[in-house]
Amino acid sequence: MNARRPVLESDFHLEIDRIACDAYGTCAELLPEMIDLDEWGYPIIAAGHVPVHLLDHARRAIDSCPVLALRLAAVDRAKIFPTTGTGWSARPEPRTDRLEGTPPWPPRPASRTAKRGPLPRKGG
Amino acid sequence: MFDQVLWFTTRGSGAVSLLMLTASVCFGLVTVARFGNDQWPRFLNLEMHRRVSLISIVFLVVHVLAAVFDPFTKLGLAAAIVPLASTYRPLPVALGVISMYLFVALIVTGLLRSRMPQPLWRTIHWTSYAMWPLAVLHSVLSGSDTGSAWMLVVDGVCFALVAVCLVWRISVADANRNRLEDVVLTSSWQKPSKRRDGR
Amino acid sequence: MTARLLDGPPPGSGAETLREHRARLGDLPARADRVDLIQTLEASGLLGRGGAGFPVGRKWGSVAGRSGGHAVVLANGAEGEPMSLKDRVLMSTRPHLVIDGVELAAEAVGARRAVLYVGSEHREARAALDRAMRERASDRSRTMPRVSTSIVTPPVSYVAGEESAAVHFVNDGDPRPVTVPPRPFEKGVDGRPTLVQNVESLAHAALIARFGDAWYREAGRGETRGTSLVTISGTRSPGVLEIELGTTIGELAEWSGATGSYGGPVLLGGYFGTWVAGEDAWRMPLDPAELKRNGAAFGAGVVAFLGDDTCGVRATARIMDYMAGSSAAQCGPCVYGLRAIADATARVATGRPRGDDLVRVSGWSQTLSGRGACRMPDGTIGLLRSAMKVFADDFASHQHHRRCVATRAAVGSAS
Repeated sequence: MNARRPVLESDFHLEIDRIACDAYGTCAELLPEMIDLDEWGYPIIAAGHVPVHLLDHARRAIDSCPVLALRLAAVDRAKIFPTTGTGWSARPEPRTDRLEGTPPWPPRPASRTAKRGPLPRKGG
Repeated sequence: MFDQVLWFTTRGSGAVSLLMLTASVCFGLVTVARFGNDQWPRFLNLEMHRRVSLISIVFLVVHVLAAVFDPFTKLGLAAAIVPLASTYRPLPVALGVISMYLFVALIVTGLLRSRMPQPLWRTIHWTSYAMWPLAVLHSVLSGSDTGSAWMLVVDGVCFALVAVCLVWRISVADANRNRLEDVVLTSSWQKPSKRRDGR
Repeated sequence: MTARLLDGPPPGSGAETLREHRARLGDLPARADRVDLIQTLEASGLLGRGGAGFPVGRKWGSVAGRSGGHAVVLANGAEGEPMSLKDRVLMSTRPHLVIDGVELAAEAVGARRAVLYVGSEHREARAALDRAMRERASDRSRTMPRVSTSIVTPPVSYVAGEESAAVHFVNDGDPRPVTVPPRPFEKGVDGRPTLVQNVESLAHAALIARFGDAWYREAGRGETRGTSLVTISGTRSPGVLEIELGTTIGELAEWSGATGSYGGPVLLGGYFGTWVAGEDAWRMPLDPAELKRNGAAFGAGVVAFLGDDTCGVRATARIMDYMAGSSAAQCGPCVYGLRAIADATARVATGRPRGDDLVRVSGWSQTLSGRGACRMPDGTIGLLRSAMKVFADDFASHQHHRRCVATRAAVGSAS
């Protein structure tokens, strides 16, 4: 993997209900990039935003938990980019600019080489 | 000829549905029993449980429709909806109808699990311990007089599989959670090292 | 010693009666003057005395903001911290001050129900509060709206005083923490916004309501103003004292007759706190803001002097065992992690270390942070880390030479 390419971060992070968790370990099987198991079988979850390219895997990991201990929680993006709004953001929702009559949002850059706003922070 | 097709469809789809249901019950039990190894990661148990349930209910729909429209049994829609409304083998069909309703409840709550209160989901899921035996009983008692030996073998296999998985699941029980209590209650300072009298 | 909360009848006089309370402090201010109590509390800078030190005014404001007149006030007198006695003493001797605080809080946040949450083994405190409530019930000259108040007594355990555990016990009889969100101020007793406030904080609020925030801020030597109750142990005159915030450990040592040398190890804050040692530490003011800057915490106001000849490694190991045994047994990392740490520190303390015990303890404490439903593992790890700093040479001596620096003796296998 090209280490110089910044990792696109989504608007979500993983949250776990530590009381419900019963060390089934399926989450670590399906999302090893962010979830590790300690010596007793309980998950150690990477902090921070879930990278966009792992979102589907994260959802599968969440669905796989027999006790529903894991979930995705949205982070308020306005708090992270307070002055520029979202700019070009890696949003997991379907893009509304494909709909008829709906203005494209987020705003398209004027050209491909135009600045797309702040690059997301390099992920872990 | 056509009525024979419907009759065979009823029995065949019923058998497949029951086999898939049995597999689903087994996968469910084995999920709690935490089966898994290098070849079979644990997430597969729950995954298979869900997928096989859906396959089972598809075959159940075929089974019910074929039975309802079969001119031989003259069941009619009412028999498939109201228990004991059937004139043809009322008790076995009724068992099947009740099992079907429970199955539908299980599928719906299973699909909506993350959107409902967990105690409710859990209570409804416990009815699977009634639903599967009812389905098996329905199968055993609905057997026609001729050529039902193979179906009884299928029923026997289903019973054996679930029995094994059930025993396995009960033996695991709440072992992981109970161990937490035990570990908390042990003391780090009363571990017997060598006793003074040397025993 | 500054006496504000403990002003009045001397210790040993038992609970103050309603008449004595009124005679000493006067009535609560008229209703019209009470309206801005939340603002007054914020202006006073009063911090919670349950251990977390959260600003009291802000807490009341967040409950008031969502209460809709149906909030609940939970006065937290569980005092599960074994080294702390201050809440018990306050409830047993000044019950009316605490109940004043509860009624004022109920009015300020819009609550119709209050719960006095007192550990079941704190019998004197329970009896005093019970008597005080009966005195008030038959009192004709009430100025406060009636709040349906009950006394609830959980079994005494470390986690029973945690705010979500308190709410859980009142709702379902189970004194164990639950997963948050939603936190009690959003959804607590009976599903309503609940103010969980330590009894000492409520008592301070009751005085501030009478005498104002300026009066409160007159006491105090540093950044954090006011007085606070502390529990002192390990000295010739241990017990509960009321001190001005900013008093130093050295002064407390002098007042209560500490026997060890100046700069000896002191446990600040309780089992959830940190060890400090050294002459600088003894000169450090007991001011929550100052302590936080130096990596320590005021916590529940425990100041426990270890003394010169007591083994800090052993004391720490005992505390680790206690905390591991206090776990609510709900979260794997806490249960297994704390037990592993307790086992390892016990081995080191009693002279049966395994080669890599201290290394593994560091490893476990790193992976344990933030991996429980409540903050108990984090507090325990905090204490352990401070111990490994303060008693660094003694830990090493125990591990490698089976010798204790503090007691100057070999460490045997006898427990």
